[in-house]
Amino acid sequence: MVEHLFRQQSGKMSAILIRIFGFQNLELIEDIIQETFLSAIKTWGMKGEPENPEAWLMLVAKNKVINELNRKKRHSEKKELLHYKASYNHIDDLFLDHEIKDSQLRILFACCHPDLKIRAQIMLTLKTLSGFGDKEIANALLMKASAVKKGIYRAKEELKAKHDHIGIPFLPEASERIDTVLTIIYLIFNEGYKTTSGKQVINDDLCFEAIRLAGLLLETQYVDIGKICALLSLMYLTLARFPSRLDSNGELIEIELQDRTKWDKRLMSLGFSFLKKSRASTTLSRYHLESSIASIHCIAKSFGETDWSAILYCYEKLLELDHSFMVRFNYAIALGWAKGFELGLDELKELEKESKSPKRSLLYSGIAELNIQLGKFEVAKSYYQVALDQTESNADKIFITKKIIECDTKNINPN
Amino acid sequence: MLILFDNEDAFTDFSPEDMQNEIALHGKWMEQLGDRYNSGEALNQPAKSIHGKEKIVTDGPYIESKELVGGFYIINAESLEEATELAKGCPVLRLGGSIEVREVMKM
Repeated sequence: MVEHLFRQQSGKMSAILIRIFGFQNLELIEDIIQETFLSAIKTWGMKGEPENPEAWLMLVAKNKVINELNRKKRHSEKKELLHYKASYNHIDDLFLDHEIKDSQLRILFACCHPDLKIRAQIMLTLKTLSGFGDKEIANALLMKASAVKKGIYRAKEELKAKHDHIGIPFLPEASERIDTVLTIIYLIFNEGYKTTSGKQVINDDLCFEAIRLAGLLLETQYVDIGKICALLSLMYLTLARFPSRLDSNGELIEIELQDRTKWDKRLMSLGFSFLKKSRASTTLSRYHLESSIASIHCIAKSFGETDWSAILYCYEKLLELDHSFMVRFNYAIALGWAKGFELGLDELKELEKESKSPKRSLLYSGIAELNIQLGKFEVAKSYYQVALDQTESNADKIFITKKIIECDTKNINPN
Repeated sequence: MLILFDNEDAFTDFSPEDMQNEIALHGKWMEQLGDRYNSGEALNQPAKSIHGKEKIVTDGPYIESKELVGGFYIINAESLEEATELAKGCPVLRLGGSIEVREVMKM
């Protein structure tokens, strides 16, 4: 059986079923999906897997839908039946491939409702469209399962109130909401990317799920396809470099020391092909700039061959779109490598004064790193010590501790 | 014959991924059985029971129990003991289900 087939089927089924029954019947929808899987466990467990598991699941789900509609009809709950979004005759159509894609898109846009909190949008998308369980979401987002359950429940209640019209074509809304959708997809990807130690499997899953969701968007018209390709390129080029980020103990390796031969060639070439397609856009988005930066890192055969002035140019453009802490931080580092570490340090000190970002540990690590480049190991060490105090992440703690030892060694013997 | 009593509650908090893993376990078990697997049927939950001469029909399974017969396997084994040993590998046990092992009468 294909890996994660049930997860994917769950997402497809809920997309179809939400279109039929509407958001206000989410409990019924979840029951039908759960019963479908239970039937699979029982019959496949007794007789072995069917030849086409996907089709089997869809057929069983469809029959359960029809049974439910018949049951409602028998009990003359006509009024409720009218609430359902699809009429009887269309049920078959909704189970066709292109309709399933369309349904998934509609639900994706519905889950990324700007009135919901960002985290709620992420959880809801993972739950309904990606088929993640509460515990899996909790693991991925480093939350408690009970908090996830509550959060999703609340988000559903809010959506139920808003989304009476899920069956109505979403196209006019699509172009307005596409940016929210892309942000949510990007955040899902980042959630998978940032937390490294321990739960790697689920985190890889999150990254690939983000890529899958972005792939769905390629089917839409009326939106800027180039921007979607830029995001896809960024995600592929980032993921391609993933294998070199950790050593055999699962500890972080800094970019200078990463073994570039470990980079995934297949993912990288996908990244470059989407980068090319991203040029279809008429305006430059942050995804265009960020994927360009990733591509410059990918092209460099060694860290020393990195084209920092090209990267710096991209960060300058990015600053025009986004003046956030992360962009300013990365700009300063790029500036340091491109034009001199003193200049980079000045920027970071400026950032230290102005920004109230909670990412102090990263900031101090950055200052320390540029000091190392200037040969000021004593200063670097003191900044790393502050950075160590301010991080919660275990992977970071291990990394920073190593750097402190490195500072000591180099201080005694600079070469 | 292995008569399986499922613990239906066990699946309440299962995610799709968990469900798929569960099926993989069943697949593995059937693979292990190899030639000793003969056949099997899963049973739907709605049940009717008929009692005695009066043929009184009631809804629901005969046994008042949380554990319901979920299906059965027929396996080829030399003895009741061997069949019992084989049955110990069945994944339903992991989730708090149980199995009744019976020998099919031969002519």
